[in-house]
Amino acid sequence: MGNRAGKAPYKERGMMKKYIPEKKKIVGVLVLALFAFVLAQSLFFIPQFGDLDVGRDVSSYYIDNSLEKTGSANIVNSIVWDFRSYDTLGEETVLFAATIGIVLLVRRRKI
Amino acid sequence: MDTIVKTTARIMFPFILMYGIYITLHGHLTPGGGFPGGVIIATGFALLIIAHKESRVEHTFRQISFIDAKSIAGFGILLLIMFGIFFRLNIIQVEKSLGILGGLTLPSNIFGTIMVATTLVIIVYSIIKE
Repeated sequence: MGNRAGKAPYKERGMMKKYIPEKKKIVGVLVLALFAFVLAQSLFFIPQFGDLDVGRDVSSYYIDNSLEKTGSANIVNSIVWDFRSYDTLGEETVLFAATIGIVLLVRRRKI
Repeated sequence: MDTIVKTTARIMFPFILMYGIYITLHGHLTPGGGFPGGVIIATGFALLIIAHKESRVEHTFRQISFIDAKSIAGFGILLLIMFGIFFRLNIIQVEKSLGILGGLTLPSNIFGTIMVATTLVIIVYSIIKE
């Protein structure tokens, strides 16, 4: 009895692997196709080799306007904390999650 | 560790801390900012923790206090960026320069420094304890 009970989950897992619903497969393929389409769209916006005009891009806007817009003389800092603050918020979230994970992983007693 | 290492760490610790705070508070004027300042401050704490016994350092700087500071700083960053999103078009910006204070970059730098420094100090504490 115990032996059979031990075997049952493996068998069930094998059965489960065979019966992935068709709807799920179709939805997955559709999502992947949409993602590939959106990625392939961006290929047309890449400039030709050696044809890059830096002054047209957003970097010249940062250089011209960072002091008036943010009040910070350090352009790197104004980009990190002002123009790209969403990015920095995500970065801090990563730091927070890493700290929580490590503290939960290696603690021995209650801190 | 040695007496030499212990004494050197004890003497150098306030200067490392002071340099990190200087890097942070001048981040909007000179090269530097939140992340380098936080790493320098964490280096000072790591030197102290490795040179002395961990339990002796924790008598003064407790790990739970670092976690508290980290939570407060994370909430501050969230609040600052939400403030920027709410009042300006999704970036923190002021109309003109506030002189040496540098707008909202200075509090962002301070909170970021606390985040980075406490992250590294907590990780060092956890690994040394284990």
